[in-house]
Amino acid sequence: MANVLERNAGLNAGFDLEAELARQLCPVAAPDSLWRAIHEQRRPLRVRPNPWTAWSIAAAALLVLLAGLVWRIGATRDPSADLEALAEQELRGMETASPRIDMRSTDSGEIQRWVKANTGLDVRLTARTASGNEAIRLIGARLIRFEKFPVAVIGYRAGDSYAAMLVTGTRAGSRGNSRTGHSRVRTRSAGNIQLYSWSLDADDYAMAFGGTARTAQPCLLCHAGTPALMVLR
Amino acid sequence: MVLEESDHELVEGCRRGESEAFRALFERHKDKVYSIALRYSGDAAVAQDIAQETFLKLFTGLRSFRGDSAFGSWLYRLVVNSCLDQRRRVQRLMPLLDEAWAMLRAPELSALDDIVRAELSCHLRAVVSSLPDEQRMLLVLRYTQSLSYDEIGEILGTSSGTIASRLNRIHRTLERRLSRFAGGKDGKRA
Repeated sequence: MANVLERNAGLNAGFDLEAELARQLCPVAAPDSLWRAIHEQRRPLRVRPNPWTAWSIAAAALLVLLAGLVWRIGATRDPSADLEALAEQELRGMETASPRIDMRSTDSGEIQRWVKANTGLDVRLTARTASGNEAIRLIGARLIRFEKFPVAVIGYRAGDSYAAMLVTGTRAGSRGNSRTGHSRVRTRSAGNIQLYSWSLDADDYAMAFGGTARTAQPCLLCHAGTPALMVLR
Repeated sequence: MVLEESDHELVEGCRRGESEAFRALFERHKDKVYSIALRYSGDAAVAQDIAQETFLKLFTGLRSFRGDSAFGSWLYRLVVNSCLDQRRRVQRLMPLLDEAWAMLRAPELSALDDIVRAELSCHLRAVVSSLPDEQRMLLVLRYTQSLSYDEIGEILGTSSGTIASRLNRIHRTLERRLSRFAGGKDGKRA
């Protein structure tokens, strides 16, 4: 073979390179299977919405969903229960050897002023000083926060039991509805703790005191000289 | 390579989601796409993959196609890019021609000429296969599609003068290598 090629080495004379390239690289027909292969892979062509529109719709739907969720949580949630739980917690803190008190005082007037100065809330304490009211002995007050609202905690003893009364103006919605008396009064027991909650003059109150029996004695903090049971009616 | 109105209509039909329009566009250009893929890769299976990828790109990219450029040039660019991408993925070379033998046979040639021509054709095939990707693509566009220098230049993004120069260089390379083969067997030269 080599000799043959050598004898014909003058290939340019009998070998047209461009014609040979055209022959070797000539077009061919596509196989029938090509369309099927493509058709199986491709997805239906859909007219896509404007991506910004799609995002807007998705964002709006998410907002509606979140708003519904928040509304649902708000509707099912009982703020009184939250405040009662807080009162129970404060009572337990009160019963420890070193209760958390910001301002120690046995003077109801002094405590009222301190609460007013720190929370803006008017708490009408009718109990006198410890010496003037044996049923109620004031310990002091402290300030906490509940859902970003200030809560005044008044610690005292009612008879032999510790008690804590909490007052807050958390319910912005109820503000402006002047109330003439107690409303939404609720009482319940949690073990050896009695829990009361109510609303008055657009403020929310909760009270916790130790004892297995329901009694109106702790109510004397604000109702000295009045039949306390009337409050719990 | 002027944008044909019918291509325009089919492209618009595809954009509206008409599957018949895509089928018609496929039927019109399938041989062109497949031929380039086959002649470039030298392998029918690889060519089908390339053609498939090209049409899928075409299908998904029709929205970005602007009517101010030629559809043909755009399609050529798609298939060229698919070929080069495939080449990068699969580093293999296959023969460019399936039936070179039969096509090369000329009745007026002697048996000796037949043998010589067949040998040279086989070696031409091997030499073309060994060219760099871009040079091989240039040959495919020129000899498979019979495109002008201007058209090739538009597809590859260069001037027609550069295309002419590159093709001339490729021709000389091929001739040189084939001559070397003819004269290099057994270390002898004519």
